[in-house]
Formats: sequence, C-alpha cells, structure tokens
Amino acid sequence: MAELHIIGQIIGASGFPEKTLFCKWGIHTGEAWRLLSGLKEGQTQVDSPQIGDIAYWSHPIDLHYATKGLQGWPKIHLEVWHQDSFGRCQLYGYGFLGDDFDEKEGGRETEKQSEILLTAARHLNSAQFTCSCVIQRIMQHVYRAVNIHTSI
Amino acid sequence: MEAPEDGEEDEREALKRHLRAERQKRKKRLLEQSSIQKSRDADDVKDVTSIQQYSADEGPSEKADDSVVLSKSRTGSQKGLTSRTQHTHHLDDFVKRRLEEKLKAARSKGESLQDKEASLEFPSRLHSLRDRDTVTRFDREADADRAGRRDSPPPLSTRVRFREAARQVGKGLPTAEEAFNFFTLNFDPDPPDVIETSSRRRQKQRKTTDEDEEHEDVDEDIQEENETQSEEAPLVQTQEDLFVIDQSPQDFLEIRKAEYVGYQKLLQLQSELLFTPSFRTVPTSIKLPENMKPRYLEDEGLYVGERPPVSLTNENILENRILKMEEGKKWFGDDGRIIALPNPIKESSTRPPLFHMEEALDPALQTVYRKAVKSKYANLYIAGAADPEGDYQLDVDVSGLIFSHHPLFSREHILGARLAQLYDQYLTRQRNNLTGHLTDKLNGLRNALRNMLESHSGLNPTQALQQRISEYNLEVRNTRHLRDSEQEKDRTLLKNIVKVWKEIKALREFQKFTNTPYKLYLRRENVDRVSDEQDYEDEILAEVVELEAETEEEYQNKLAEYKKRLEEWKLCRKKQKAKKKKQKKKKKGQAQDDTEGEDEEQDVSESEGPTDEPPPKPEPPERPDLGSIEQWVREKALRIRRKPGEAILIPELSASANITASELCPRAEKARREDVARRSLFTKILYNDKEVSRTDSRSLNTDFRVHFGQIFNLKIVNCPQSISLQVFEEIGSSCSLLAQVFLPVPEPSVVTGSVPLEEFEFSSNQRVMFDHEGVGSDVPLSFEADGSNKQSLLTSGKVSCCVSWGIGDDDVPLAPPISQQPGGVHSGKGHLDAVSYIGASGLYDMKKIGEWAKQSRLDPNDPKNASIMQLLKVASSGEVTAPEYFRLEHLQEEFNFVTDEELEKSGRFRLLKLRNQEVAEFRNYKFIPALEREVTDTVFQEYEKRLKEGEVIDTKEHLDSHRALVAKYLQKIRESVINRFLLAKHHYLLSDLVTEEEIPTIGGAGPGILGINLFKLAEPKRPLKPQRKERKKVTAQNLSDGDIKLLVNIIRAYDIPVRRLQSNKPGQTSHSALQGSIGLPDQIQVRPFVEVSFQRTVLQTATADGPNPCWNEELQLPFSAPNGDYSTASLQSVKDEVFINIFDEVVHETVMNDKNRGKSIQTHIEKRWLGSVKIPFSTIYSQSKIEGTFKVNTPAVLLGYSKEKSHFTNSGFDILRSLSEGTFITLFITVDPQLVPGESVREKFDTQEDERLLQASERFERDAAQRYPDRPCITTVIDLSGKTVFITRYIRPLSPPKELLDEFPNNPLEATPLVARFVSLIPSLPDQVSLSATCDLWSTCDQFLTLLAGDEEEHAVLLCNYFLSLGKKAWLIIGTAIPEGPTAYVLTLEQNLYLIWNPSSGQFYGQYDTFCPLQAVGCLVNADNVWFNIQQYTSPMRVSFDITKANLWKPFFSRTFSHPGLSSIQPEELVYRRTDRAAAAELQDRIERILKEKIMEWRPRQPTRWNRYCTTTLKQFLPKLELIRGQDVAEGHRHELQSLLGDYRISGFPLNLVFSEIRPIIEAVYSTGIHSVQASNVEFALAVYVHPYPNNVMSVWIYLASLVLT
Repeated sequence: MAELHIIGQIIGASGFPEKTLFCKWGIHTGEAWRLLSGLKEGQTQVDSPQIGDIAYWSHPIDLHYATKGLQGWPKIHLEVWHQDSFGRCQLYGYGFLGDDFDEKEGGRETEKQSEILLTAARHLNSAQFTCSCVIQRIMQHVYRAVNIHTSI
Repeated sequence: MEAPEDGEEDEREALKRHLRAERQKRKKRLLEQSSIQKSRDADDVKDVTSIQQYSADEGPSEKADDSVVLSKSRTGSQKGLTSRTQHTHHLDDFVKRRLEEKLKAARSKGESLQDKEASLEFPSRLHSLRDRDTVTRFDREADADRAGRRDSPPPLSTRVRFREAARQVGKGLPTAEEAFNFFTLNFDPDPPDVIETSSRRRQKQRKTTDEDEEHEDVDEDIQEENETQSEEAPLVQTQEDLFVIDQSPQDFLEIRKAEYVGYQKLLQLQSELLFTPSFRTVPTSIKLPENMKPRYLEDEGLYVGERPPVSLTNENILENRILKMEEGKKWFGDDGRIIALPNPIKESSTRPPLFHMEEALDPALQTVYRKAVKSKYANLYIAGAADPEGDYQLDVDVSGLIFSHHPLFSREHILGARLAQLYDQYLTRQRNNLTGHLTDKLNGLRNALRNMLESHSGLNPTQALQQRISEYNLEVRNTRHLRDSEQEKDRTLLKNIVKVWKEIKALREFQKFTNTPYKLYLRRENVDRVSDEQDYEDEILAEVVELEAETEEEYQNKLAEYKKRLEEWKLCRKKQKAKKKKQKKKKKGQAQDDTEGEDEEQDVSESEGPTDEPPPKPEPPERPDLGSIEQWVREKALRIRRKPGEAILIPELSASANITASELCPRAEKARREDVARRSLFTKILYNDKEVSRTDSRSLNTDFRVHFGQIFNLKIVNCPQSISLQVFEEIGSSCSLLAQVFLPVPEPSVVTGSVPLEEFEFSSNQRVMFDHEGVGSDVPLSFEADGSNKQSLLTSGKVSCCVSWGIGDDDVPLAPPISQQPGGVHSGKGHLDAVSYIGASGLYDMKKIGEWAKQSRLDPNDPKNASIMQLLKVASSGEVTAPEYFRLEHLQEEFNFVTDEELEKSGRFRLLKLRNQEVAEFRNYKFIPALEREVTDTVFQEYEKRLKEGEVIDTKEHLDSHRALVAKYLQKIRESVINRFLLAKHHYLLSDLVTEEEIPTIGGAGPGILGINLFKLAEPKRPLKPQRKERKKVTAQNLSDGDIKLLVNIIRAYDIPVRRLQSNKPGQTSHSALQGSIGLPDQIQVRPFVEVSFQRTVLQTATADGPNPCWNEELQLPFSAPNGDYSTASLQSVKDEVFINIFDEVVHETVMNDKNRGKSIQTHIEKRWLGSVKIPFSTIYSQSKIEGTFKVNTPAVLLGYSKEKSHFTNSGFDILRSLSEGTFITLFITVDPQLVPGESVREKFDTQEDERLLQASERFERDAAQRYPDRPCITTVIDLSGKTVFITRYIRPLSPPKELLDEFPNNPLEATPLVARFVSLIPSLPDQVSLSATCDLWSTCDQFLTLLAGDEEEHAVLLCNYFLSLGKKAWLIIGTAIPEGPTAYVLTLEQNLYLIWNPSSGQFYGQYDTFCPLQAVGCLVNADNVWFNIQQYTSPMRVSFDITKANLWKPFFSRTFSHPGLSSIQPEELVYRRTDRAAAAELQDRIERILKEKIMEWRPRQPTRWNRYCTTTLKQFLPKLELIRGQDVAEGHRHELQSLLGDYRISGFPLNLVFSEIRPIIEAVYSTGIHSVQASNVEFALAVYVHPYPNNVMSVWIYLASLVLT
C-alpha cells in the first residue's frame, strides 16, 4: 500500500500564435491506482499577458494517490486552448507527460520543471509544468515486490 | 622421447617446418588484428602492463590456429606410439595425410574467415561512417574531444618497441643493458607528426575505400579501435577524480553553505556515476564468440520470422549495454544480432478458465444461446443509395423454361425427355472426355515407370528408388481402375441411349402416332481394323503384365508373411517338444513306481501340448493362377470396351421427326393436346420476397418448352437478400404456382453481357392426374407390358435465366461495393487448406489435424501456419491448458503489493476519501493519522449508522408524518439546488482569491495609513468620546475554533412587567392592584436581568431595578462552527439562535424557627421568565451587526405580573411608547472578528422572461444600486426550479382558507388579523439555512403551503395575495428590518392609513409607529409594477407612500416601457386541506408527554410533582387564548387559579409557538428556565393545546406554571 502525492503547478505556456491561453489538464493512472483526494482534472483560468510572451496560470495540482501495484504510473495530459475575443475556444496544442513525470526517488522529494512540447497542427510550442512527487512508503514495497519476484 | 627412425625424423622435421612456416604466415596476418583487439582492453593502462599484454598477444595468436597446434601435439603423442610399432610407415603416411588435410581445412577456414569478415565489415563500416558524420555535424565539442582521444592511445611504434623488449624477455635472460633499459627507459611517445600523417593517410584511405579490400581491412580495424577507445575513455579518465580525496580532515569539520550544483554540473556528475551506452554500431566480431563466423539461417534456407522493427540507434544502445554485462554474449544469435522474437505476443492467451460444469458455474455467467437476430433496419439500405449516382441495377434475364416432366406428358414424352437427358449426358461426357484423359495419363505413367526401370536396370535399386517405383505402381493401378470405370460408364450410357430409342420406336409403333420430334441416328465410324486390334491387344497385354506383377508381389508378401509365421510356429513347436521331453523324463522317473498310468499320462500331456501351442501351422499361400488373369482381363475388356475392329458408334439426336397431326390421333391423345394448348405459363420475379415484376404469359407448346426472353431491370435500394422466380401455370383464368426457383445474388463482378444463361432446376411435388393420355405427376406408371417396374414422376424442369448487375452509361457496373454483399465471399485457400482436406468436422480432432500437418509438410516457422502450429503444440502437450482469454495487464496481479480488499479495508484511505468527498461527518476533519493502526473504527460508526438509516424518516423528531415528508422533500430540493449552484460557486473573482492591502493614500480620506490617520496623530485624545473604528474583515479560511466571539451588548429595556402584590383577596381588580403598587414606592417592582444563551453557553447580566432598567453590559459568547468548518457555506447553514431572555430575580425569605438556635432566615433566589427575544445566527452573520430596539416576545399572560402602563409622562419616550404596547429591549449584537458574509451567487440563470425585460430589470437594479446603495431593490427573483422570474408575477389575489373567513361572515375586515395570524403560523425557515447557499429562492404560494416553510418573502407574498383577495390595496415592501435585515413586508392602505404588516409575526404597525421593525423601504411591488423609493429618506415614518408621484417613486414600467402583460406564476386558486382535529389532538398529547418527560429530565436531583388540578384549569384557558390570538390579556386567569388553588404562589405563562418540529418547542420551554425552581415544595403545571388551522398549520400553546405552597 503505497501512497503518492503529486504536488505541482502548471506554470504557463509560450510560443503559441496567440497569447490568450488557458489549459485543460488531467491525470491518468493505471488500474491499480486509487485517487484519495484532490482533483484529477481541471482547467486553468484564461491568461492574457500584457507584457511578455508567457501566459502564466500558476495552476496548482495537488493529488493524493494510493496504489496496490507499480504499473500504470500517473501521466498528465495538457491541452492548451486559445480563447479569442468572442469567447470562442480553439485547441492550440496538447501534450502528454508520462514517464518523466513520475521520476522518483524513494522517500525523497524530487522537484523538476519540465517543458512539454505540445504538438499542434502547425506549431511546436511549449507549456511549462513543475511537479514534485512525494512517494510515501513506496520503496519498501518496491523492495518487497522485487524480492518476491527474485525469489520466484 | 626415444630416438626415432631417420625417415620418420625427416618427415617430422618437414612437417614441423611446414607448420612453422604456416604459422608465421598466419601470425603475420593475424598479428595486427589480434594485437589490436587485445590492446583495446588495456589502452589506457600504464606502460608496464602492456608487456603482459604483449605476452598475452602471443597466446591468442597461437591459439588462433589452435587446430594446428592441437594436431601438432597429437602428432607428438602419435609419434611416441609409432616409434614402438612395427608398421610405422603406413601409419605415418596416414597421419601425414590427415594432417595435411587438416591444415588445408584450417587454412581455407582462416582465409574464408578473413574474407567473410572483410565482406561483413563493409556494410557495418558504412553505418559507422554515417553515424560519425551525424555526430560531428551536431556536436562539435564531442568531436574535438574524440579527436584528442584518438591521439591518446599509445602509438603503434611504441607498442612495437615494447613487443621487441618482451620478445627479448621471451628469448631468455636479457642482458644487463637490456634490463636496465627496460626498467629505466622512458618510452617517449612518437612524435605527433607521425600520427598526424598516419591519421591523414587514414582519412585519405577512407575516401578511397572501394579501391582495395585489404586496405579496407586495416582501415576498418583502426577505425574500430578508435571507436571502442572513445567509448571507454571517459570512464577511466574520470576515475582519477573520483578516488582522489583532496579535502583534508578539516574540511569535514568545516561548516559550509549548501552548495548549489548547476544543471550542467549535475549532468556531468551524473555522467560520471552512470553508464550511458554508446549508440554506435557494435562490430560483429565482438558480439560473436571468438573466431566464429556469423551464420545466417536465412541464407541456409530456413524460415526466419521478420524481426520487430527497432530503430538502429536503440538496437545499438541495447547491444552496447548488453555487451557490458556478464555473459552478455549469450544474448546474441549466430548471426551476430540480438536474439529477437518475430512476434512478442504470447502464444497462449491469459484469461482465467471458465469451468463448464453446470453446477460450478455461476448462473449469471452461464452462456445462453440466442439466435442471431438480424437487425431489421441496419444494412437494409445500401450505403449511398440515396444519392442519384449511387443507384444500383440488377438485370434479371428470364429466357425460358423447359419441362423435364410435366403432368401433361404423354408416355412418349417421358421417354423422349429421358432420351434427351441421356443424350445430354452423353454430350457432356464426350466433351469432358474423361476416358481419354485417363488413358493418356495411364500411358504416361507406364512410360515413366518403364524409363525408370530401364535407367536403373544395371544398378542395385536404392531405397528411395524402390519407394518411388512402388508409388508409381500404385498410381498406375489407381488410374487404371478409374479409367476402367469411366469406360464402363461410357459403354452403358451408349447402351442406354440405344435402349431408350428402341423403346420410343416401339411405343410409336404401338400407339400409331408420334408425339415427339426426337429422332436418333447412330453414326458409324469405321476404324482401321489391324491397328485397332493391335492397340487392343497391347492394352490387354500391358494390363495383364501389370496384374501379374501385382499378384506376384502380393504372393511374395503373403509368402514372406507365411514364412515368418511358419518360423514362429516352428519355434513354438520346438519349445513344445523340449518341454514335452522334459515332462517325459520326469515322468519316466516317476514311472518306475507307477508304470501303468504312464500311457494315460502321456495322452494327457499330448492332449495338453496343443493347447499350449498358440499358432496352428500356417497354410502356405496359393500360387496365383497367372493364366486366369489374362482371361479375366479379356472378359473385362469385352464388357467395357468396344470390340476391336468394331465401328465406333456415335449417337446423334435430332428433332426432325414429324409429329402426327391431332386429327389422326385417338381421342385421349387429342384431349391431352387440347389440354396442353389451353395452358400457359408465366413467371414472377421476387426480390427480397417481394414481387417486383412478372413475365408475359406464354402458352405451353407441345414440346413443353416455354420461351420468355425477357430482361427485367431492377433498380434496387435495399441490399439483395434473395432473388427468386415463381413459375405459374395458367389454365383459363385460374393460375397455380408450379414451383419456385431461387437464384443466387450475383457478385459485383458479374455484369450484364458477360455471363451466359444458367439453368436452374425446379420441381414440384404436386399430385396431378388426368383421364387422358397425360401421365400426370406423382402418379405411378410403367412402361413394361406387364405393368411392373412402376415409377412415379414429379413435375420438374429447368428455368434458364441469369441475374447480373447492370452497366451504367459510362460502363460502370451498377453494383454495390463488395462489403455490402451479405454473406461475403468465401474463397478457397488453395490446396493447403485444412478444412478442405479433412472436412470441417475433422477440425475438432486434433489427431487428424496433426496427421494432416505432417503429411502436407507444413513449414512450422511460416507465420501463415502459426495458428495451426500453436494449436498442435497445445494439443500435443497433453491436456488443453491454453487459456482462452486476454488480459491487458496480465502481470498486474503478480506485481500487486496488496489485494483490493486490503486496499478497500484501509481506514486511512477511507478517511481520506470521505474527507475529500466532503461527506458531512468528515468535511472538516483536520488531521488524518499517518499510520493505519491509528485510525479507529469508531470514526466511521456515526457515518455508517447514518448510511444505514439514510432513508428512514424520524417521525419522532417531526411528530407529524406530513411534516416528515415535507422535510424529505425539502432535502431533495436542497440537494438539487446545491448541485445547481455548485458550478456557480466555483466562479471566483479576483478578490475572492487575492487579498490585497489597499495602497495608502496621502492626505485623502482613504483607509490608508497616511490618510486620516495622519491627522489623527495631531488630534487630541478624547477617551470619553470613543469613536467606532472600522474593523478588519476576516475571511473564513483563516479561522479556527475559539477565534470567533459573539458580542451581545445589552443596553436597556423598557416596560418590563412588574410584579403584582400577592393578594389573597380574589376580588381585587387589576386596576386597584396597580394603584396599590404605585402607591407604595418603596416596594420593589421588578428586578430584571438578561440571560443570553447561545450554543450551550449561558451568560447573564447584573440585576437591575425597575421596569425600565439600564444594563449597558457586553457579553461575549464563544462561537464554534459545526465540524470546525468556517467556510462561508458552513457558516451560512448554522441554525443556532441567540436567545435573549429577561428574567425577574425574586428573593424569598423564609423564617426558620428553630427552637434550639433561634430564628434564622433562609433566602431563596428564584428567577422568573418574563420574555425573550431570539435572533438567528444566520441573520447576525449576514448582517454582521444588529442594532436596535426590539420588541420582547412576552407571553400573553404572566401570572403574578402586570403590564405597566406608562405613567411617566415626563419621559421623552412616552409619546412614542404609548403608541404600542409591550416590552422592548435595546441590543447591539455583532460577531468579532467581523466575518465576511457570503455574497450572493453571481450567476445567470435560465429564464423564460423576455430578454428586453431582463435587460431593463438589470438596468433598473443597477441604477438603483448606484444612486441608493443601501436601499434594497429587487425586480427579478429565482424560483424553486432555479429560473429567473420577474417579481410581479408572484403577486396575484388568492383567497385565504374558507374557514378563516367563515369565522366572521359579516365583516371581512375583521378577518384580516386572523389571516395575518394564519400566515404567521407557517414556520419560518431562512433560505440560507435551508439551502446553505447564498441565494434567495422564492417559492410560489402553493409550494410554500406545501412545504410549510419559507422565509419572510414567502410569508409576505402570501399575505399580500390574501389581502388583495380580501379587496384591500396591498403592496409588497422590499426593505430592511430588524432583526431580519433585507426582508419583505406588506403594506396596506386602509381608510387613508397605511399599515405595515410583519408577515412573520402577524403584527401590524401604523406608518408612524416608532417600534415598527421595518427600518427602510426600498421598493414597493404589486402585480402591475415595481416602484423604487427615490425619496430622501427611507424610514417608513418619513416616507410618503403615494406611488403616483413620479418624483418620489420611480416606476419600473412607465410610458416608455409599458407593462408587457406578464402572467402570474401563482396558481389560480389555492387548495387547502381540511383541518385535521384528530391529528391535532394526537399531536397535543404527544407534545405534552414529551415536555413533561423533558422537564423531569432537566431536574435530575429534585422530584417533579405535577399539580393535576392546576393543569386541568390551565388547559381550559388555552383555547380561549387562541381565540383572542394572545391579545387583550384578561387578568381573569390568575384570579381563577387563585380562587381554585388558594395558598399557592403561582408564577406561570402561556407560550405560543409555531409548530414546525418538536425541538424548537423544547428549546423554548427550556429557555424559560421554569424547571430551575429550587424550592423543595414546588409543583408544576403544564398544559398543551394545539389549535389546527387549515393545511396542517398548527398553533401550539403551552401553559407553564410553577406553584409554591406558601
């Protein structure tokens, strides 16, 4: 019974043809994972930066997972949308952060900021994302699991 | 070693020399290569080790040709042997030869290895070149680095020098000089220019790679060397840094700042620690065991599956990594590539097995067979059929039909048809010419066999040849049999044709007329007699020879069998005999005693003997009679074949015979012919079982052929399911269905014009009989003279027609796409198809499949056969264990730490989840234990209990089933509304999230530091004139328990009832008592104090004197939110109320006369309840402060007290006070710190209102808010379903319950207070409490009456509507009042006087009443319009209610925007339920019982005695009180009681309550504190009266009294 805390934030995005952006996000996990608390999907506010190129959202992510197995580590997907002056929304890019996202060290907190290249029809853009995972009591379980399987 | 012979010696020497020369040669070649290879490992190692390395170099070079070395040593040992043997020479020769052979082999092997390598390296080098290019292009730094590294390995020349040194070592002891040199000499590296030139040369070579292979070889090697070095270089170089400790011990003690490690540095550090495999191609030679040539299975003709696609880079990385591991090479296959499966998918799937035992299987899992139901509409229409281009056309060509039998056939017809049929058969056979084919084949086989035998005649036939010959023989035999049978068939057919023709002729002869036109000619074709006979004889001869051979072979086989068995038999026999002999011997021994029985014994033993013998003596097989064979063959030939020389008969059928005219025929025949002529036929075409068209009707000809020749073009929309033809026969006007013919739906490729007509047979089993010549159908008839051999014929025939797809104008077939075809196309899978071989049923037989697979020699590696091979593998492995399931993560189970159950069981996780879901019990659960064991089960108990009870309504709590239902309904509404508002609640404003301190303004009047505060510094301090400071608002999230205090400032009270003198004279009037009391100024009138209770905390003020006391005391009551949740939503839903009770402190002194001690005085302090004010917390929260003078809720009768009329004429208040009656208290209540009240939901709701109206209302409200921010203005409200509704729609005259009006049939005006009372008796429940959301929902009157709960607006609307129906002029006042805050009152105009009604209490006030709770008037609403107050003042006293004045009241609908005629949303009429008196009586009893229990419960230490007499008396008072609605209190009660009870000191009062549920009643009783009387001889009286009003509205009266005996 290991638990995983995912704490982080979606900082912002840049490099899109328009600056008025918002982001939809969601976290996907495998079968063995149970969400204990927190929202696993959401949407940021629309930021329309007056200065600079980065649309800042600073959207917090705080989830608490419990898992009974190691497969299906959480992955986050991001969609960057543009809202135009008429309030119409248009998908500008999307991306997936999989294995990097759960880069883990036993019992310690790892924090990393990664830039995801979001694939869009025409543009390659980036959204920034920080995340730190707190892995509780996972290592002993990992070791146990490993031991079991080596003994088999 | 012995001295060998000379010759030997020479030879050996020669051999040795030869070997050495060979070795030198090889060594030279291998030297570079191997040394380079070996030096690779030790390139960067210090110089000393390179000597060892050199010596190691020698080793492998020797080992490289270890076959040579081995053979040499063998020669040595052999030599030792041979020296002693005699025939040394011969042996030596032999050895020599062998050695030479071996050498040759080794040499060629070595050479071919080199060649191979060269050829192999070629592509790989190309790869590496490419890789290098990309690297240099992208990574300059790396390039430079590598360039440096390229120089780093010790140059070749240096190494050569080492080698020399080492060789000297190897030779023997070095000289002193050499030794000195060896240990001291500093081996300088070669001058760099050499390397440069060499590298330059290398590059040059690389450019001209294709020129010379040998060059390439060298080049390649060098290159490899470089690569491998560059891979390893960083690892070893950094090792130095790793292990050198350059910090002294002091450094460890030193305290330093945490070092920041930059990203680049971090990467560097990581690269030191981690091994990153290179992505360059690994040379094949490393991956393979030494001196192994790569072997390519594919080239050897084996099937190798296709490898899964992996990018080259990934493969290289993997290879490099694997090579670093121990036994890394085992991962590489013979071809030097990583072993890879062509298909990563498991061969057997992994679903858990489902047991098919009937009992064991869960019935839910039982498979139920359901017939496939074809969807009626799906796929019915062809896709794209709708558009004009996609039309499809089916052409049905009905050419005609021929009857093979018809009831109207005459006998001749039958024979004719038979003849025609036979002739047809003959023609088809002739066309196929099977006999000819088989004869040719037979001849061919015979020739082949003969050739084979001839070519191998000289040689001993091998096994394979024999096998083939026997196979051929078999084939010949089979073919011959086939040919014979075909020939026989031909012959019989011909005979039959002739026979039938003869019959026809006989029939015609007999009946003397001809019915059919058939005529058979037999054409004779003469043959050359001699050659024909020759052929015939040859054939017979050949057959005879073959048969002889066969029989001979058979005989031989049998003979062999016989011999074998004979042998066995003989063996047995022998044994038997031996046995017998033994027995005999034995017996002889015995016989001496017993000779007589010997013979007998022998007989027995002999008779026993044969029983032991298993086989009887086998019969030798008979020699076959070869002569009979020939005879047999000739007989057969005669039977099935034309006689030699006989002419070939070719039958020819023609229809040229003349049919006898009808006149010449007998009558029966004539009748038949007439019948035929009468008949006609037509066919219907049915498409998908629907008739689409029919052919013309054609009459039946005498030849029973009908020609239609019609083509029907069917434009179709539906998918073709079936096409059929129905053949109809018409006799006169009636027609009957003869038969139905189903036609296959053509494939899309079948197009009109390209297909021939096909014949489809049909038949009908209808029984038809005629009395004329016609034979009928299904009627037995015979052609024999004796009537035997009867047969019955059925109507049958053939339709010739064809179905095809039409062709469009542009030659496009008008056929639907192939996917539309139902049924699909089943194409054969060729000769390898297992199904066609063993049949479908054989598929279930694993053995059969296995046999078939063996026979057809399937390639087990071919993916096409994978499924079969897998099946076989599974089948052959014994029981069928292959699970037939599929799992996505089939290893999930194995890798789980815990099971699902354990995860579910975890209390901690459950707690976390519940908290996250905001389940009420856990909503603000603060700390969840980190450890599982710290979570106790008790945490969940309450929650589980609630879940269990969930739906059950506690009737005890509600005392009334209807109210329970209403509560449930309300709950539902609450949920739906909460859900509706959930979204809206998530819309935040900036101020919701960001708390920003305002920027200080300089000099301005802002709240900043530099504003007024600056002046304040200069201001003189005036402690006696305190000023209110603006408090800081606190947002809810920063709060916790104990932070919030409720501040209640009780200032003063007016007109508190005063005590009445205890008078024993019952006749004393109240007036005189009052007079008396005033007349005695020293007497204490009343000593009131105030007790405030809130959330179980009770505080009280000091006691003051007199009916107009002034306390001026501040009480602080702690506040705690439910579950410690201080969120806005939670605070809004706090239901607690603040009770402010006024008590009178009464001191009793009793004189105790103790004879021993003398007199003593005992003082009892008793508090008596005088009245109360209750203010809900939600009001305080939303108002943030409540300030003002409130009317105290005093009981109608206060026993022992009297209301003091104002006699203080000099008091300033008196004028105002005289206008109203009752007790008043001035209060100031607030919450500290100030809480931010929740804001109303900013959300636009659905609406059915006109957009223009909504805009106007928005504008109206905005304007109002701008000009008069503190005047409430409402134009639109939200109804219960969450829709925006214009407010005027709520106002509509509605008649009050009839019972109320009936009370005053004469004067409807009198009923007004009663109606108001009725409305006020409906329980009040603030929306915020009920809905826990900051929204104000307005329910309509019927909803309100059903729910029996609502806040002030609902009360006001109902009251207003009632007043309107009573014919009054009434308006809704939207304003603010105390203590409710923004609320709704009702305004009526009666006789030029405006009355303000408080709908919640039923009280009314004049416009100029000082104590009117209404403080401000915002707007007035009636059914037609909304008027906003734009006067200077808001207080009702100063407001003119004349709405016609536009400068005072701003109307919503004006001339510019007229009233659009909004219909009301109220019902036309309210339906009231009848008063249920029985229920009321029951309720009354229950309340009484509960209250009595409670009072006793509250007095746990004293006995509680009930005075029955008083109770009954009180009970009589209560209905009267209800009748007068608690007003106009008569003093009679007390007197009555007094007179009844005599010496009791009575204090008591009636309480009137609105009934909603029992809890508030108990609270109210408790708050009076009547139970707290301590006197020992106290008695209580309690009476309850429930007065029912229509629609379950109840008025509850509780009379409480305490009696103390004086």
